[in-house]
Amino acid sequence: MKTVLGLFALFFETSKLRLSQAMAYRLNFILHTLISLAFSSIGPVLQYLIFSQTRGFPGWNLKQIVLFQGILLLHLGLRSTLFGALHYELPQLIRQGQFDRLLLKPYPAIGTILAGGFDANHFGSILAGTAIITGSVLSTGMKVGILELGTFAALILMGLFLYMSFEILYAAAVIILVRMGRLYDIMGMLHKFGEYPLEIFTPAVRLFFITAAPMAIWVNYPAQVLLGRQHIHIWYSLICAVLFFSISLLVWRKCLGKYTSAGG
Amino acid sequence: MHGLQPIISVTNLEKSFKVQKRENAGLASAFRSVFSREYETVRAVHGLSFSLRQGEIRGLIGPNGAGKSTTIKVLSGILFPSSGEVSVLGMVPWKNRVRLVRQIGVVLGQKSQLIWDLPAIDTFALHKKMYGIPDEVFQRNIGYFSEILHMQDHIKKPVRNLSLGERMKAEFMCALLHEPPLVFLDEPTIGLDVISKDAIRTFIRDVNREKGTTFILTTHDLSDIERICHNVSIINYGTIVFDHPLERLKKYFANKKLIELQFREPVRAQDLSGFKVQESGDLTASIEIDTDAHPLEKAIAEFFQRLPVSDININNISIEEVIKHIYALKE
Amino acid sequence: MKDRLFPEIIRVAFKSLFQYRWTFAVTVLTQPFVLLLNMALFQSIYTYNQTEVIKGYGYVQMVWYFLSFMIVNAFVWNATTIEMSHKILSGDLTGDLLKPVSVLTLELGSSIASRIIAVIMDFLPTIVICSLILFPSFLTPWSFLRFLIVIIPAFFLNFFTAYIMGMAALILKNNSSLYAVNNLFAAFAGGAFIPLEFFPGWANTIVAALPFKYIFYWPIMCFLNKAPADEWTAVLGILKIQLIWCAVLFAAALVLWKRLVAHYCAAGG
Repeated sequence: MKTVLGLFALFFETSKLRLSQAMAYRLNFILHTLISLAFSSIGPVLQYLIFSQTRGFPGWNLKQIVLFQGILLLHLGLRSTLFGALHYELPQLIRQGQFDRLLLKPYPAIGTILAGGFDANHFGSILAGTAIITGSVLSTGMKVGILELGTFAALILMGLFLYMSFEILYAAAVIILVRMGRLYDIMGMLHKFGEYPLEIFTPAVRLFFITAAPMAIWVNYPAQVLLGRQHIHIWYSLICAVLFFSISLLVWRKCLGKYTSAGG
Repeated sequence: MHGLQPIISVTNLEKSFKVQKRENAGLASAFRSVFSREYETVRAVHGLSFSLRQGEIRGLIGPNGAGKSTTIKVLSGILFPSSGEVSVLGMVPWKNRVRLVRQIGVVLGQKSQLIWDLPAIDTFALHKKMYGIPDEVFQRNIGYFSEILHMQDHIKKPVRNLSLGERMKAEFMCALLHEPPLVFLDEPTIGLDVISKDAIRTFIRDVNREKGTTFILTTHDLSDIERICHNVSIINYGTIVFDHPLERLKKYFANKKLIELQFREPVRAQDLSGFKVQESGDLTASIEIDTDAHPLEKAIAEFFQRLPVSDININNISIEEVIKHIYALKE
Repeated sequence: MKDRLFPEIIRVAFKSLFQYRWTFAVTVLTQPFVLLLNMALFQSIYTYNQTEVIKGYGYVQMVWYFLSFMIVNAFVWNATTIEMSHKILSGDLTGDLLKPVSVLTLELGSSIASRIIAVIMDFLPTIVICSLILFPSFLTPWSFLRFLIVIIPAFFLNFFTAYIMGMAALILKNNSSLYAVNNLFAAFAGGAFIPLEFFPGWANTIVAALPFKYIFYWPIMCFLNKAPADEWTAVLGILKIQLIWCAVLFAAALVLWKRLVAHYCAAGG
């Protein structure tokens, strides 16, 4: 417990530094915030455009899909703020052989790595996502009580927890395949599958995203909860997410054992 | 060997930067700086003048932040000065950069110009094309340099696998392949062991002697200066504060001597009162003498009279002391 | 002597970059997933809408559209902006300025080298693998030739844009947001991520006045063999505008460099 608290303190310190750094180049900071928003919006805008100019896809109407995109933006904004810096910091760290220094810190290495993930440029997506969700809940007149909101928040947190497990796997892969700078692209690509309604996939694929890689937690379930369409699948996915986390930690330990530092 | 025409002449060189200022380290201060900020003008070089003859090896020394690197960068055409006149090999560096750099060589101790992932010989081949080096000159120089630097095998290994000393030798080869008449060296021996340092110093002296190449080097290592330089310029506060042959630096305090004494039996501090003591132990002391006030023979007689002296050494003030003294002089 | 320098710069850059060939090959691993995801997405959309054609795209063309960004990038992408701003901020530009060659020539050489590797390591294998999953039935030898003709000026267009942005680091210090704005324009105004047909008319008017459409959208159209880029006359028209843009940006790059390089202040010491 003390370690976890220490890691949180470490996270806040790193975050403060990053925020100061980001603000030193003020024009960049403002632009970056806007740009990150625009980039996160590509997926949602595309889905919206397709939807508004065709009959869309099964199981969702236009207003519901707007809510879905709002949640997607919120999720993307949160996870990039918490972990966004990892994908460029970590490979750099290991290539320069500075990973050893990290091992000298009095915390578990993976904790120190995760605590350094803060990226200041994604507040735009969080704000936009929150605005869209609020707007579409109000405009559709959905009945959202304390229970629904609580479940929604818990699912968003679980989604971030799941994303963290993916980051652990990523870190494990990076220390083994030092040279593969673009590993993150592969992971990012796989994550895109979690950014669409489950309904577009065949049943077998759907099952995969509910259990083996339960990315349905990210956007699908929170949207369903707000729309009042909870399903027993949520519980399977949550259990799978916890399992996924344990497996990722196991893989990390194995890979750390194999780590050999670069340079002499 | 020493020609007379100046190869470099600098008059009243000025270079200033604008730097952002922030009062506190905290987040609040960082946040405030998003909206308003103050700037400070730093004068890196301030009214600097000097000239350099062909065939010289000139040392450029000065404390950190004195303006040495900025001067070198202006002279090699990388930086544009704020004002002042500079002529290098008859050219204005920042106006004729491409033409000038064809005739100079540069070694930056902290920055590599070798391609990290490839053997140095690949960078050399690129330079051959870049500088239009004829085949026979290229082959001759590779042969000559790699022989005196013992680099025959190392230039075929990827640069990332070389030790720092081997890499620096390769950097020197790279900078000198096109036989430039003028070479800038910015801290060329930084981080090297004594043997590598020695190899590089010998190399500089040999090239200077055999090809008449002019060298200008900045360093913090005074033995670089003592071993290879003909002349020394000391830069401080962005301007030249000393510009003379090395001999003058050695005799800077000609009227001062450092006397090292050894005693037969322990000596108390009060026995040494009246002398300017630099260091002292139970059985040793070093004492500075101003020969204008106390002629040397009188001082020595006094030591033998007052103290149980068993051995005595008379030295000039070390070059390190001299430089410390010059650095400490106010603007 | 000078005329043989440029090939040498490319050759050395190629050797150096080839050390990272597996970094290039990552595309081969990601693109099949792009294909599969879009197959699922558009299968369900085309079926649900009971139609063969949406906005002029058949199902196969639509799915391949989302691969085209990678296909075009294999030919036109460069690291110039990132590299230059990194060099300017760290003071490493010093090394380039000490060479008796213009920085533009050095950067162009390394960009060309990286694209040669990308075409070999990314483009060719990806095309083969993806064709096995969903065959690009729209492709003909002539349409591929048209694609090759417009992709070369597209490369130069993209390079000059990147070079100008890289230079901006001389005054902006940190130009990463400028770079991101450029990527954003490539994504939206260039049609790299979303087919331009989905945008309203006014947006398309703006987009037509910018160079990005000539870097991404038109090469994609040629590759997909989609009207109007399925005819030679249209392709010649595109080529003409591409060349005008190239000339304008090249001139701008030369003028700006002369003015901005005086702002360089090498970091450290």
